[in-house]
Amino acid sequence: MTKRRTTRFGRRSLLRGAAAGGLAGLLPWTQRAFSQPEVMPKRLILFFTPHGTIFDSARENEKWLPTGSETDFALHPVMSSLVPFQDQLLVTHGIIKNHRGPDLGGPHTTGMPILWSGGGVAADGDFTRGEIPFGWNTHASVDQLIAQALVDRDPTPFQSMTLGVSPGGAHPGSRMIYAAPGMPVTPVSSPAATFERFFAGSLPGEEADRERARRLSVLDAVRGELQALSPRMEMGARIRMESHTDAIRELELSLQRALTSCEAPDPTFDAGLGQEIDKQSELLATGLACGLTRIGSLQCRVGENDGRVYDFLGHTVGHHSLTHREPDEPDALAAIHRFYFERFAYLLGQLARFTEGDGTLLDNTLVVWGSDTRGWDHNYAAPFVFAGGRGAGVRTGRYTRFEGIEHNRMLVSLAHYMGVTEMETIGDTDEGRGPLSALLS
Amino acid sequence: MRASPWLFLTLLMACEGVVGDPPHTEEPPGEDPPAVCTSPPAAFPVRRLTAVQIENTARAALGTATPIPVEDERLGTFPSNGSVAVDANMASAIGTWASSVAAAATPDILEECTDDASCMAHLTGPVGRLLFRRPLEADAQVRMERLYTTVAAQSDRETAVRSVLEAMLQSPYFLYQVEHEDGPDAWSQLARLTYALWNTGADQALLDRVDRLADPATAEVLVQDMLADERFDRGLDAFVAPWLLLEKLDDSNRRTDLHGELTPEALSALREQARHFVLQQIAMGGRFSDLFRAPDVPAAPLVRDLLGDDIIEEHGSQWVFDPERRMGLLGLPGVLAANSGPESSSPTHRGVMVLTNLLCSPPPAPPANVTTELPEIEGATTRQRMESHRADPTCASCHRSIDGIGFTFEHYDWFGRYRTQENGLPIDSTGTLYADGDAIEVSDAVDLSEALAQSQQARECFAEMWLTYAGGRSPRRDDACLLEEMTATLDEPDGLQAMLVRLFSSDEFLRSALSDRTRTAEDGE
Repeated sequence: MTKRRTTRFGRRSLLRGAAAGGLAGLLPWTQRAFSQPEVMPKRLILFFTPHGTIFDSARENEKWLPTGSETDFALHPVMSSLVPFQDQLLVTHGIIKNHRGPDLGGPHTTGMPILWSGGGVAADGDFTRGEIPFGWNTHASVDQLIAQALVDRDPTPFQSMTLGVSPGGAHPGSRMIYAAPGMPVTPVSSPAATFERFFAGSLPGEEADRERARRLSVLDAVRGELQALSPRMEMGARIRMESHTDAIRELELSLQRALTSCEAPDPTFDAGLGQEIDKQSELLATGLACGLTRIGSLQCRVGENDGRVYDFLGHTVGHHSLTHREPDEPDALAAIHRFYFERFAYLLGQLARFTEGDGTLLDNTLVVWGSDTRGWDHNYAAPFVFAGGRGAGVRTGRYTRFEGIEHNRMLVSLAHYMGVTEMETIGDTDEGRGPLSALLS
Repeated sequence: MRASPWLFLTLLMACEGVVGDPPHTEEPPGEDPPAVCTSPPAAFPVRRLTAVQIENTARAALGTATPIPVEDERLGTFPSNGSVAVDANMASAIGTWASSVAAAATPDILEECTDDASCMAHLTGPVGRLLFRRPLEADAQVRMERLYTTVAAQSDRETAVRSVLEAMLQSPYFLYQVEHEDGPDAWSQLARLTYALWNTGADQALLDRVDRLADPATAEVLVQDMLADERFDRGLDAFVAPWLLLEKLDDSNRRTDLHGELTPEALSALREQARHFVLQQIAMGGRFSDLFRAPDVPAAPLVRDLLGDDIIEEHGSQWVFDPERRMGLLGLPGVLAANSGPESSSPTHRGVMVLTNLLCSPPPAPPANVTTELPEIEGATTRQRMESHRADPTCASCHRSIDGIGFTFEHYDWFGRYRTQENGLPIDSTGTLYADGDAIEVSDAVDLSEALAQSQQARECFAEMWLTYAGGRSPRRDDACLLEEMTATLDEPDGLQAMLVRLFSSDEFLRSALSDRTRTAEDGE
């Protein structure tokens, strides 16, 4: 059912420019600011797939876990796609998300904001579950806190690349990346949109320069509209208009910034869930390789009960329903998680494609896979798998078991890994301090 | 206060202005002196248009629009963007969309003008007026003219026109229901009406009537005219589809069972039939009870097979249901199919929909750590499997009210087809409706419909649903008076229409200030 399709970027002049140069799909970037530093920068990617993994309440250990010892282990068949990367993996057990905020019947909703922010949702707001009201997140996610800290220390054209595929509308159960309390970051939700948002600003050629100038004039007028209107609006609305104004300014800046030399990704992709996730991974890896940003995330679908039917896996029942049938239908659920670990492996492969120094981009990128919940039991003991980062001293090739470590320690460790060592705690679920020294080194 | 004959009738039945009083629907008109709602109108949030509203507005103004790749927030069941701000990623997606719509619309604009001056005048005049639903203010006009001139100097007229359109499609005057701090002006009031009733912006003919809103009596006529307009038919989908969860019919990724059996056209026909049914009750002078009692429904030939012998008469564009088997809204196959599970009737989905959206009494979420799947019992009915599930006491407390309603629909399979048995066993469709503080025993869905037709709680919920949909926020305490008046009108002749006129020509809806409650600085910390 997949159909080859070429993306259209709505900028015919750009595509004309590319075709005229005979370089369609593989364009050299122009040389501009942000030249490559000597020491390879560290990067971070947060990777989400919905509804945990396979889980068996009758077994003491979740059955997706490896068998063997810390350094000599065999991955579960559901993770077989990751075997080629086994020496780049750190598989963990026992990192547990604490829960704060209203009890909404399990972590599908609240598990999303807590996942990377360590903060629960507000106890009041416009959302309801049954008759229980709740609001937006109360804390920023760790990737955004790191990105905000890096603005001065290690400026890049973009603070972060927040990507998704079918990430749903704005709702706490479908957003995991937050710039601030009550401020979800909208995931860029298609490869075409990702290309447009992050790569269009750097296309070379006179035609592209003219198009950028035209686009800047348009954005200037839009910003003028917002700036004229917001002072005339009531206070609360004014704040939202000012955020919108900032967003337009950010688009203007991203059109004015560009990249070090590097090859543009091929803008074409195949339709289909897996194909779109993989394309997003390719664009994300390219963005990190090109120095667009140090921080990325990719959210596959949503944490809020996901009714998607994986018809391409032969299913007739939706994912969330299947998780609750898991004891009876383990194979169907395993197929979904095998599919998602294949996507994770594809991302690692994309990162490994780029040579950096003596190694690859994967060696300089820490990738963390997480989910809203563990599995059908709605437990907050969600699994985490780490990959990459070897170049910066992360000891991979391990399977590590912890005894109920709160995941805030892991999040703080990510900040420290990225050089934001002033972070000691994160979110309102945090009951400890500092990084988890045994995790990454 | 206003003094139209209609309003006078309403005021006779209105509440005494004491928030929280029980409604006075039983009292005959004329017993009490007229009273008015004295509570201050509650503010509504500033909303960005929904994706469909954006597309509809662009299409109406420019004759072309592509789907915008920005998903809506939800307020309860309704799409409503009153919470989060546009960030750079969303602004980028909107910009890409604006660019493609502007490119598609430019050739037509160029046909309407002959030189730069006339193109600019056309854009900032009639085109801008439709996109912004108000005349461009002087500063916006200057801004757009400057953009035109800048781009035209570097390229050509086509590019200049396209760029101005692109900017207008990203302007807050296009993207939001804009209202100024000093309260809604007539243009803003008109926008409140057109988006709630038509789900699109005003056309030139309606913009020309904006002064009618200044006088409550003429405002009411305007609302009545808008209800009679064909655009109310299409616009009503924005209320009916989320209210009855009919959007599920569209999602091929979630309901592969339905999409495997029916064409997209047939699924649209199911959705349309429900909307046309509600429209028919409003237009033909129906009262609230007719929503649940009416035996005749709009025909939907594409799905005739689903209804088998349940249709006892077909005349023209109307079908008459066998009143023993189904009636009203809850007999429509689209409502039943949308609220079933994959290849199962799902008493739970149907019960939760009725409780949440028809009675405004949503059950709590299932607790953590329970399986929500039914046990497989060979040869058993859905009901028997549910009852086995309910043996678990953690499930029983909520499922009592959910299934009490859901079981009454067991005569309809996952497609809404009537059945007398399942797996060779007779259907048991008895149930209990917990509403209005009572436990009402009902024998089947027809009986349930009759109980809802009589329920005061269902009437109040209907008014609350409309206020939530139209106002973009949940009802608050200071809405009680308006809600009571709306509820009271539902049993008048033309009750459904009267309630809509009451809501949409009210001071509370038309003239209250907007306020952004959810994103204030205090909330942010």
